[in-house]
Amino acid sequence: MKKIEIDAFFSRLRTAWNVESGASVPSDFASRVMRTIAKSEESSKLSEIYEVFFRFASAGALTAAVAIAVMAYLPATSDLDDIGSSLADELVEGDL
Amino acid sequence: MSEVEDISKMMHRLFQGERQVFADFVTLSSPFVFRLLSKHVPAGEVENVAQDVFVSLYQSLDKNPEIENPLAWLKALTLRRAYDFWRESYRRKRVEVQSGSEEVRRWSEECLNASSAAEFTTAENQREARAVLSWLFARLSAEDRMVLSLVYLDELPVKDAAKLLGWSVTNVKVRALRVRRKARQLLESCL
Repeated sequence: MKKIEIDAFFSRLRTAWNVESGASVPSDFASRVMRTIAKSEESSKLSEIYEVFFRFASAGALTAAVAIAVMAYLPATSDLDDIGSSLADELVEGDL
Repeated sequence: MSEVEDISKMMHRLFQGERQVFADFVTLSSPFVFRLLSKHVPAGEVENVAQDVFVSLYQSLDKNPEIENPLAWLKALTLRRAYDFWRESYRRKRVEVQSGSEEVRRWSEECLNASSAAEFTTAENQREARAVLSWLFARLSAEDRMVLSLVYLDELPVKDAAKLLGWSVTNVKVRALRVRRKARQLLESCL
């Protein structure tokens, strides 16, 4: 295998590297950038709204879980009916 | 006033909260960003990466970074987006490792036999050199690609390259030595 002097190679590659490619900027580039920024701001606002919504939703889910747990400790539905009707009777009789 | 001074002045205004000048700033500084990117990313990707540069610049306005040299800051931001582009390309395996070894071998032989660098300034040689660069870059990691281009092609001091990339000087120094060795091995393997 032949040995090469890498610095000489780099120096020759540099001549090609430094040639201006002449990449031209499209005339509507600035307006495209502004549209992208507007869209990304819009989506970040939307994600903030979603975050708030999910926070409330998870708070709602927590409340529902607590309610279910409380219900599990309450008497059975038939007992609740009895309690309800005796409360109604007492209301009618003016004891409460 | 020069392009550099205009860009610096407008960046100061932007970072002082004058966001209404942003569109004018994009118009003014995009030729600078395009020129820089055209060396570091494929021609077809320059516009997309330039968009990323300006969007991340706009987003960083909220963070009020302390900027001593606006143009160096813009240059660093542009190079870091170019580096992100290559990292993403390698991650998605979009970097094509073309064979092209014959062209590289021919160019390398010419290099060995040429008596001066002046012989390598013809359009044909430059086209070949670009092909050799693409061949070489495709065999390097995103990190090595950035170090090779900044340290050996742009000839920046290691310290400046490290600052632009946001890496430690030691990291760039070690990488520069490794990539130099790797480039030599790759080119020699074609001869």
